[in-house]
Amino acid sequence: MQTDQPGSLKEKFGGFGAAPSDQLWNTIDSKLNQKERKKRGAFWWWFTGVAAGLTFIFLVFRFGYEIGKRESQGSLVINLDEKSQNQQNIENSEIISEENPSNQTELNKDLNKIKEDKNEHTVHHSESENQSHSNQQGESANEEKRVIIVQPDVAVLHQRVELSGVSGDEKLVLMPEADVKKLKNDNEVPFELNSVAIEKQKASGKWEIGLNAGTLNTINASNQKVFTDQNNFLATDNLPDENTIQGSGLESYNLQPEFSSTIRRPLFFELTAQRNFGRRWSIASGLQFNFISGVNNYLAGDLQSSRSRFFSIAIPLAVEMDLIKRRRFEFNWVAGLNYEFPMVQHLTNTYYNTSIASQKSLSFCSGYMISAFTAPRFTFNLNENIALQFAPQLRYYFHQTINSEMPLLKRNLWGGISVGVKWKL
Amino acid sequence: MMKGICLRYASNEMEAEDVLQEAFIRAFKNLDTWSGKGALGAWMRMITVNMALEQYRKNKTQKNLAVVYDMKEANPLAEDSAIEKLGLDDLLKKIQKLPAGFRNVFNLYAVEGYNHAEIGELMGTSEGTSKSQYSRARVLLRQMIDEDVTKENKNLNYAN
Repeated sequence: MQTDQPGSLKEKFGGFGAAPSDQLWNTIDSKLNQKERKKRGAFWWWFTGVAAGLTFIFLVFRFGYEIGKRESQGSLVINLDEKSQNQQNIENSEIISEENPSNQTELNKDLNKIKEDKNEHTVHHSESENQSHSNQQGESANEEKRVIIVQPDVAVLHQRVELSGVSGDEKLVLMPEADVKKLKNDNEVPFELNSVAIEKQKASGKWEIGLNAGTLNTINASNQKVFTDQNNFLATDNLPDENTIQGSGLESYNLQPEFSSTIRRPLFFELTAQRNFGRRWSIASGLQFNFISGVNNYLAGDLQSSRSRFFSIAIPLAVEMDLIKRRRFEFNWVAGLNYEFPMVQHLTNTYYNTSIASQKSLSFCSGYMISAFTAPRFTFNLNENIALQFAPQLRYYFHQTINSEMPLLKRNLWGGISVGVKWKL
Repeated sequence: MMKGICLRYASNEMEAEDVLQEAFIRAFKNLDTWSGKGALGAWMRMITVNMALEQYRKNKTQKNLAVVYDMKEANPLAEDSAIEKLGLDDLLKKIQKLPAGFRNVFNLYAVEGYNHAEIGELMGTSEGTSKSQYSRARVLLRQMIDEDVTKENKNLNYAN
């Protein structure tokens, strides 16, 4: 009988059939409805995620804009009680700002006249509020005042400066909450400029741009159980569901491991924009590029190995809390969500059979992954504008809809590290 | 008929019913795309085969080539034509025991009548791989026939 003709057994199987079980029809019926629901469910997940992301971004920008607007409208105002000044002096008051250091000399001249008790000083946090308050005081006590406006950064910086040994001849600068600092000489800038620069980082409404690179490895506990110690091959028992080789004849031939499989996220890049709120909190978002690499090695058949390279793009949304802030060092805690969308998968199959060349294919993927991440972040300030940062990271993928041939892709717990640089605008 | 196809592409009845279920669901959902010109049976058959291959592709890294065979040592005594001479049920059982990749190639070539170039395209492999896998599938089937013959001989010896 011929054996190598296409369809040689067609006739034999031509009328072959079997009746599906009754259970099957019921399952099909319920699945048809369920699939509709699932599809809708997936859509809502996607829709909710995108909507939440957009709302978040909108709020960040909106809130940031409001704060910026408020800052531009009113700075912290310090009233210095002084004799022989009038309301006109208030209106023509000198404005001292860090953007205009030449005014520091003016400030010193003014401050040279201050010899009064610090308890008479008052501090207000808005120009209008301050002016009305000054008016009242001026009218009621017939006192003349000089208003010096400084940036809130500076004011905040000196909140903890202690008053001690102030004599009438010394130059003083009044700081918020009635703190006074001595000036050593006429040329001394009453503000510690370096500290001001550092303090500037803490100020609300400041933007920061970050560029980070990192690597992640799967750290699922079950992953460790799957691989044997000696050769890193998948053990045939105790496999998680996703790796179970059902119906492949394994049951009767399970004496040897079939293949080894590893997966890593060797590299990810992220570009982030961060907005500070208050002195400790900030919100960050941006764009992240992930590279995922998986390798499966086979011990049987033609296929020797299958290497997958997977590229995805993600939008992280994170909240950062500053735990420690020093002049040169900061320690923050970051936590957030990562919406990851797959881009392309590049597959390379290599065969034992030397007559078969390696095959490569490129395909686009659908689906998405949502992960939560948390990271303690160590930041080292190189100067007032640039900082290096280093952050161990833990990432947990709790929702994944990607269909991939990588058996371990859907590992949900990953750990790694990222390093980067941050620019403070 | 559809279940018969699924049984050939699956390793057991449960897996066959899974494929059948997905094939029916796809057929129902796409019934409006059937032109009505060809035979409905052929259309359903095509959907079933495609679904079986899709399931295979989906689980390829887990299912494919799961069994270690030393093909160099394989030199079955059974003739090549013995495969075609097997009874339907017997042949089906043996096909189901083949590794998934070999089984698909064997079905597509020997039963469906595709040539190796077409199979390569369907399976996402090369024509050479299809030829190689088909050839190995036949060797494995002949090995299984050998094993059956050996068992039968043993039983006969015990009986005598």
